Amino acid sequence: MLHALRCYLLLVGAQARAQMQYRFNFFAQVFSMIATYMGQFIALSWLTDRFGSISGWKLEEVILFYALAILAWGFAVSLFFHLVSFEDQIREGLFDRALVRPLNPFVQLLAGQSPIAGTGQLVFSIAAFLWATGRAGVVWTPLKLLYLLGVAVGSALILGAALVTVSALGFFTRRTYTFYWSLVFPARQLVHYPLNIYSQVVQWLLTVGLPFAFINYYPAHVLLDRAADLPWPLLAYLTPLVGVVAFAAAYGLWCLGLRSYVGAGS
Amino acid sequence: MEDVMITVENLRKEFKILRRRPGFLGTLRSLLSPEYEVRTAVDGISFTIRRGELVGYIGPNGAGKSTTIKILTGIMVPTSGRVVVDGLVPYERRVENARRIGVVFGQRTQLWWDLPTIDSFELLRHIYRIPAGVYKQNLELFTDLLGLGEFLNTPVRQLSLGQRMRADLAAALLHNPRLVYLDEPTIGLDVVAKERIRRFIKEINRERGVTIILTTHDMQDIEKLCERMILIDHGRVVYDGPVEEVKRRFGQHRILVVDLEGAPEEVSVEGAEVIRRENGRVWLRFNRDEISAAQLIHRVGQRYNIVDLTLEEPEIEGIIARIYEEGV
Amino acid sequence: MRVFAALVRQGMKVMLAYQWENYMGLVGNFAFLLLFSALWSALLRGDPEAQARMLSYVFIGQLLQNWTFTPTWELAGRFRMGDVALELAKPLSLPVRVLGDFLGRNIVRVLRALPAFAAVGFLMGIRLPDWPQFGFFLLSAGLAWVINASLYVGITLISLWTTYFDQAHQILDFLEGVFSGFYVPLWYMPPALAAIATYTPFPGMFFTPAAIFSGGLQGAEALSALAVQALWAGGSLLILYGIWLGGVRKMTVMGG
Repeated sequence: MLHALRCYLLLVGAQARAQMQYRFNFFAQVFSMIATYMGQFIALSWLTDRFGSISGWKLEEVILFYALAILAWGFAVSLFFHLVSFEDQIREGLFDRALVRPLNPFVQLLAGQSPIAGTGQLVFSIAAFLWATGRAGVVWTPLKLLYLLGVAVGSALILGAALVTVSALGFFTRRTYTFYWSLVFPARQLVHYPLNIYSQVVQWLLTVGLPFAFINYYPAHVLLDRAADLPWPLLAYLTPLVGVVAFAAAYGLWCLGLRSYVGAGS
Repeated sequence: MEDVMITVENLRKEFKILRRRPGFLGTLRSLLSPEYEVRTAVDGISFTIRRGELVGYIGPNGAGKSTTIKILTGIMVPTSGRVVVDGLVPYERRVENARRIGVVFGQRTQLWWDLPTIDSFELLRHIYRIPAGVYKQNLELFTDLLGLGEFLNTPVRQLSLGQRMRADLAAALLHNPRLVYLDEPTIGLDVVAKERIRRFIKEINRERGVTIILTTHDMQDIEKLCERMILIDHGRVVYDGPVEEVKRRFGQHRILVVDLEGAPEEVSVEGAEVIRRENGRVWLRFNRDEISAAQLIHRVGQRYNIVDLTLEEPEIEGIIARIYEEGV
Repeated sequence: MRVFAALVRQGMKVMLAYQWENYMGLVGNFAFLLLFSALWSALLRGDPEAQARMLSYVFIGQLLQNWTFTPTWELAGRFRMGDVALELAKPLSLPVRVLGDFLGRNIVRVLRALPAFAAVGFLMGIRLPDWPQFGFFLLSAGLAWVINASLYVGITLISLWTTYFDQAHQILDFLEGVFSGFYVPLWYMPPALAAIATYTPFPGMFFTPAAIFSGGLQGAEALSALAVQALWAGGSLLILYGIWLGGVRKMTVMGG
């Protein structure tokens, strides 16, 4: 376990050094983020302008949902986004290299990305989040900061679990990009809006099935001191736990995928 | 049994290939009730390899070579059969097996593409938990034997193919594996680079007693390195024995090259087959079990005026090519 | 024209091979449909007429996504691999070949999507527009394809002369996202911005056909929107052609 962690850090460090060999345009990346998120943000502001609120949520509050989702995504991209291109590794036979080394191939796969690649996204995410909490009038206390840390870790794990699942499906179908763009990407968009616009079934699905509601909707209630409005206030404190459970489940599926890949049990 | 490194008994590997149905409903039906075709890649292979052997494992593309190697390295689980490598079943104890073996895939590097060569070695040191003393000693030895010094600090992507292959070989041996799989280690290299790689392979086999399984399409590799070769085709072993024996067993055909005076229009000799012509020079293939060289020369001499002649011994290259084409 | 038809058939064949991607794409479509229908139902609670119109709008919008899908990243990938010189050597110009290929793929995508959309549309109670209106819709959808394909292929060809192609692509994505009506139709934009947007090519990429289908643009309004769209379809083709010619000149002078 310790050996795996040590190797993970060394391999990630190596990826970072490799990345630095290339011209890395931080500003181009931040620009991309602004272009990507600004469109949706403007659309949100038009809607709240016109209709006053979305299902009882003011613009500032909707922005907070949005910013929390972007923040979580910033961490997830830095750590896990390369899993989306796992099908290339399988197709080109590169993954076999991991299997002939005495280190858990999952650790080797996770360590396949430089964390620098997502810096632009991460810095933009943090800036957007700080701005949004300011506008939403979030009152910061040390306890809330600690809570936010737990939420950030939990959310990154929830999104990480989704990306690990995408790579696990790659073992079975030899496809990964399509699962990201057709499942994970739209599901991320779903939680950019307040969850209570959806029917009970969908809310339940986003809580239990694909638990993206724990990334922003429930935690935002705590930041806004409105946890009591939730049907079950405990939901707002479950993000880290849900993150760990989801990631473990995704890892389980990944191991099943690996078994199928090496031709066992088929 | 002490000196046995690899035991393979009745190894079979079948692949199920999903039969696709066209159209939306077809895809839906394929998901609900999949229909498979079975393709047999390895069809009952058996062999044993002793410690310290250097064995050529060869066969045409699609013969089942790489499937066998994948099973031996633990990347793939066979459909049936028994495989024991150094006392372990590789696909059941993959990680433990990985610690004891070294692998070089000639076509794909094991090294970190964008980093200096030495960085890859350092990373492998940690992954394989190589003791500092062993690492230092091996690195010095390989640097010396393979001449790595000139490019240890060059990023792998900037290395020539020959340099990269040398670095890959060193990387696969840093942790003192008892068994090494080399898959096409000389592919795409020039003659000089090939020689260097071959000398090194021979050296580590002799001096360190490392067992080596070599797959290659270059018959020179086999002739210069291996005493024994296992030839497979259509998932079965078609030959397993000394390299020299192949020539005797499959090399009944020899070729007589004669220069004929006046370049006759048509050349035909009973008991031999004209396989090539260039003006007056004619290549005649004959089976030495049916006719001796002296008899054939006599026959040719009766019909034509021979200016010059040479007798070509069968090259292993040609023999293997014939086995690939015609089967045993 | 016969050559173009052959290109289209080729594109259809390519798309037929992408089964997984195609059906997974439908899952994505319905997730977005779920999102937007929930959002507009919540926003327009108490105005059943506007609600029905927006449901129809977001429904047809997702089907149109299949029609105007342009996988320009494949093209960009080919350029990055350095195959551009090869592209120049071919007798038929690159934009024509790419447009033919995309059209073929889009036809297959839409045909494959139709049964599922018909079922979902039936469940949602979506009504097809009556005859001249439906004809306007088909015409508008055709023009939307021309604008989308030309602008996106054009933006991809910018990579022939500048390394800022990714940024150019994102600016187009951004403008399309905001002004095409994908998130918010022109009806609910701030009026001043909507008035400006009307004369840009962006509503023609999405809003015009969707609004005609849902009955939000009718009669003279629909005809004038179609006219603007037709002008921009011609304009987009000219822009594409201009970028291509510029790229070719740069390639042949600078030697790539």
